[in-house]
Parts: sequence; C-alpha cells; structure tokens
Amino acid sequence: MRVSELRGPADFAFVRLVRTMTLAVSAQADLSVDDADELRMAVDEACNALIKAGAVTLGVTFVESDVLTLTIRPTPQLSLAITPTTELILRTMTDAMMMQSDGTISLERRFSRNSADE
Amino acid sequence: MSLSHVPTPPAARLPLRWHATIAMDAGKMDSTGVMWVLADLDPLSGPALTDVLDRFVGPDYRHLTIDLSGASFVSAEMLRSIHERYSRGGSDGLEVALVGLPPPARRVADMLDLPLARDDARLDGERSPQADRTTASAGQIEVDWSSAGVAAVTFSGEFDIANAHELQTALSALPKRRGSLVSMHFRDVTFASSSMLSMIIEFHHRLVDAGGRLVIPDASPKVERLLRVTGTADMLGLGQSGLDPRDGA
Repeated sequence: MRVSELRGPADFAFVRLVRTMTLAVSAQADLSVDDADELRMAVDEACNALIKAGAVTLGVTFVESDVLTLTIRPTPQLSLAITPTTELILRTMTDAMMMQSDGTISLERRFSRNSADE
Repeated sequence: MSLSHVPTPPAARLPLRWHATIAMDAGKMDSTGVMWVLADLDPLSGPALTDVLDRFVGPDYRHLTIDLSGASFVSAEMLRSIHERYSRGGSDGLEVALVGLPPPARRVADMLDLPLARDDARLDGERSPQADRTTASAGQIEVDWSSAGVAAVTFSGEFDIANAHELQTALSALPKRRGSLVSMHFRDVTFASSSMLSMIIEFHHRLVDAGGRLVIPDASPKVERLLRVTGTADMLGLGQSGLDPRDGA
C-alpha cells in the first residue's frame, strides 16, 4: 500500500494541482487512461463542491492498494450538502463514493481487469 | 459565476483561437464563429473564455461553435456555467454548440442532458453566413484571432455608407491591447467608401493608443488608391506584412 498526500489552499489553482496529481498517481497505479480521466473529473467536482461549501484548505490523500482511493478532507470541518448533479457526477465517475459528516469525501476507482486488452 | 466569492489567483491565461465570418448589409449582420479552446477549461481559466465571448458575441451573432478538442480537461462546473449562460433562447437567439469534448466531459454532458454539447450538429463557422448576398451593398469580413494578440481581418465585397454602422460594430469588438498585431487584408474589396477609411483610421488610433500595431499587407487597386490619395497609406502600414494567427495561440 502506498500513501501520498497533497495539501493546500481551497482554491481553483490548487484544484489544478490535485487533478494533475490524480493523473500521475493513476498512471503509477496502472489505471487505464479512461479510468484516470473519469477519476480526474470526479475529483475536480468534489473539490469544487468543497470550495463552494466554504473550505479554507483541502488535504487530499491518495491510497494505492487493490483499489485507488482518494480522500479529500476540508478544513475547517463543514457540513456538506452536495447538489444532485454533483452526486450524480461523483457516482458515475467512480466505483464507490462516500461522504462523512465532517465534509470528507472519499472516491474509489477499481482497476479494470483487462485494461491492456481493451 | 456562482463561485465568484472564492478568493483565487488571477484568472489563468487561456490560449484561444477564433475564426468568425461576419456578413454585413444595411441594418443587419449575420455571423458565424468557431472558437478553439487550447488548454484545460476550469473555473480558473473560464473567465478568460467568457471575457472573449462577451466581447465578440453580441446580439448580432447567430452561430457559435466552441471546439474543445484541444482541451485535455473540461470541468463539469464549466459545462454547467456555459450552459446556463448560453443555452438557447437565453441570449437573443444565439446558437451555441460545444464540440470535441473530452470523453468524461462528454459523459457528464449526456448525463446532465446539456443540449449545447453535441457532436452530431457541428455549426460550421467556415461556411458563409446566410446574408442576403443578392443586394449590391453586401460586404463581409473574416476574422482570425488568437489570444497571443495576433489578428487577421479579411475584407471582401462592398463597404459603403449603407453598412458602415455594421462595420463599426464589428471593428469595435476586435481586441485592442498592448503588443497586439492586427493585419487587415483588402485584396477582395470591390468598393470602399470614405466612411470605411475613417473607421480604419479610428481603429488604427485606438490600437496604437493601446500599444498595438496595424498593418495592411494587401489591398485592391481601389483601396490602395484611396489610401494613397488620402495620404494614409504609410500610417496604416500598407504593404507591411503581418503574422498568421493560425500559427499559434
């Protein structure tokens, strides 16, 4: 299991770094390009939702194991009411999505078994 | 945008290229345009796009295609914001299409049922606008522009007092800023009135004031004579060559 972290101000410039790192970690974890692209869309949407909800900083943890899991933790803790649209995007672009009461969002992407053959 | 309260660094520079065809006749204009977005489109770079759109896309625009095939990432936030702003009926009958979306953005657009995003109905900015070309006064300009500050404006047809107001509108929309180089091509102009000349001179002055430069690489004999007789040929850069905005943004 590999754990990497990225922390910074909750603004759009930082979201760019998170997107870039998402692609880099996805490539390292051998996620297919399409899967990585969708995960990037989800992480962008999740970060934007947290910025809108008033987060001051964002901490993103990337965990590579059987699956790739991204956990986005806002500071300060906040109660996040995401729109149905955002929820739809997060659910469609990931294999599992979880929200906690402190505003933390976790996104999980499994590896396509036959990604090399596709 | 709804996120405007969020403190962010200044809007990122967004490389763009734009091609527009504007037909002008007495009392009417018909315009089609294609805008190519050449980098990631997100809330950071989005304002640069909407700024250009607001500048170019007035009530006289009819068809606009935003081509996103040069963008590796288009955020859902920007898809929604463009849709809210330019969806059909919201802006004076302006028709906007988004084409060339990256696959995840495409999925999001389908999922949210955003009718702007469609690959089957590309609005072709290269085609001639449906102006009434049977009238003798019809003039047309083609604008190629890049965010690097290089623009080429190609005039064809007749420019007289009848469509002077329309020409004024089109010229005032062209960006004038420090370091920009605008080349105007008059090779295919069959008639140019003095009102057109005074507009070009006014455009030249505003461009120079802003720190830009105008050149006229080519002109039809009629236009060349007009420039020479009035002693404005050298000031307006007749015979000097410009740059092609299609070479990069």
